[in-house]
Amino acid sequence: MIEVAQYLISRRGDMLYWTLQHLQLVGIAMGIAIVVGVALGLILTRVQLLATPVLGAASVIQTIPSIALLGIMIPLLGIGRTPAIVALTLYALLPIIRNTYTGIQQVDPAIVEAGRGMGMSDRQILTMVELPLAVPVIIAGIRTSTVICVGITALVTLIGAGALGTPIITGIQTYNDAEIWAGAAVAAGLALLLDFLLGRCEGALTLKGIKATS
Amino acid sequence: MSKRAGRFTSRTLWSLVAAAACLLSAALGGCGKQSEKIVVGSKNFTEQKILGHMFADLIEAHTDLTVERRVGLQGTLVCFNALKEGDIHLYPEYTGTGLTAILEEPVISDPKEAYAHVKSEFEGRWELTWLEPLGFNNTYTLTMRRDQTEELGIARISDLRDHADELKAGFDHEFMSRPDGYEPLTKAYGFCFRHEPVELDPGLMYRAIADRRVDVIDGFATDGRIPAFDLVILEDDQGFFPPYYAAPLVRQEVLKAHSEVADALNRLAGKIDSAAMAQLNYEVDENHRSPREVALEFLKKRGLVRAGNSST
Repeated sequence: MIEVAQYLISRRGDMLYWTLQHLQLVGIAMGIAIVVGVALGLILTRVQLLATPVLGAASVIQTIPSIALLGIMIPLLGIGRTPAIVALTLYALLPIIRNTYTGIQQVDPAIVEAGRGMGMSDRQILTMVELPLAVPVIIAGIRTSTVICVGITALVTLIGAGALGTPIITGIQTYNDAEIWAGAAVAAGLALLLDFLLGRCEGALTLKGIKATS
Repeated sequence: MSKRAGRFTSRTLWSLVAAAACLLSAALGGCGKQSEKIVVGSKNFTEQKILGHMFADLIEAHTDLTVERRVGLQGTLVCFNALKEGDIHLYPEYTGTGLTAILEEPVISDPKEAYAHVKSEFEGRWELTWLEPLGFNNTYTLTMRRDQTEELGIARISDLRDHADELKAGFDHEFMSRPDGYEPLTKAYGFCFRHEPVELDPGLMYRAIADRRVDVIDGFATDGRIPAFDLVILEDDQGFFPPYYAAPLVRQEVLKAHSEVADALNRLAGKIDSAAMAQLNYEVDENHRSPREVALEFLKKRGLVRAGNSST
């Protein structure tokens, strides 16, 4: 434990750099995944025919071991940040697509019908009825994805994209337990912090949603 | 009916247990006769497995002793402790590993001095002896694609001084943090790459250089992927990397009781250079042949065991 603290202090500059790299990669990948995932989820509720193949494809991606996916990326996209972000985005998609789709599917048809009766357009039904009611489920999906994403980002150092995996892998290769623990502890802290912040977002957004429908 | 079937299966089960017990006791009994049996160990990577099988083949071919092969033990410390305890009698070790990992002493860059030092220290401390080195030096190296070295006229690490600013380096995490790794190397040779090297998984490093994503990588001199990907080793003209010459590390009591073991193993002295070892590693890693088969084939080809010799 003391060695871990010593490592964190003596290498604080590097640790900060790796942590920022980590946050940046997670941020970019999650940003893309949220836009693409929510959009895909919505499309699936409108074009039911696509639901099974798209969710199936996202599940298949999820089952590919991350180290294998990173390896496959090298001939296609080279090394460094680009293949890392692509791989992270692919892994983050499934929970977001699935929760968006399910969240909107489970909205009580009677409420949608009531909206239609009030003369709402399709767009108004989506933004004022369905989405607000589905927000807690969608955000739950985003939280799951974020935690997964923070974890997998610890592996992208293997393809030259840096981040908190760097001290972890260095520690494994040079038998330095303190270094492994330092990297792992900061990465775990990051996952908890982001999950907590998204939880707060969920609270704020849900409140607004209820106001909109009531 | 079902009850009878059930009794039948449980009887089969019991007979299986009995058979297993017989086999186990036979195996244990076999291990008990340790006096006349030489146990050869090795670490758990390809090169070590090949060398372990070579040592075993040589002892089988040139002595009357029986040999037990325990190749593929987990890492240096497991092998070394097993040797000290007498669970194995010999295994292949590298002078640099003996010096820095086992004796925990600083690097000696002169290969002969390093060998002489580990030999006397190991004999004095643990009654273990280093037989003649096999010839190759499995140290760290820098490697590049052959076509690029020809194009730029690079053969030695010092040649990188004129080209480092146009080359992209990819090193594994260990090399980036080792005392005989990236930073001390560039300081000793006095060059720096324009960009910080990319840190990569050692396996993916070879893919990256083959795909021209990076131009210079680190690696071990006898790695089978060096011939496989048509890479060339840059000559360490300032002798920066510590020597890692391989030799059989043997318990002295074994050599006292059976001097023929030393004679058998020393037939291999100086017989395997780095290129030959890399080729043998390549046969196993890339062509997926068994280490044992590759080892025996090499010994036969070099006339170190008779071609008719069928070791079992």
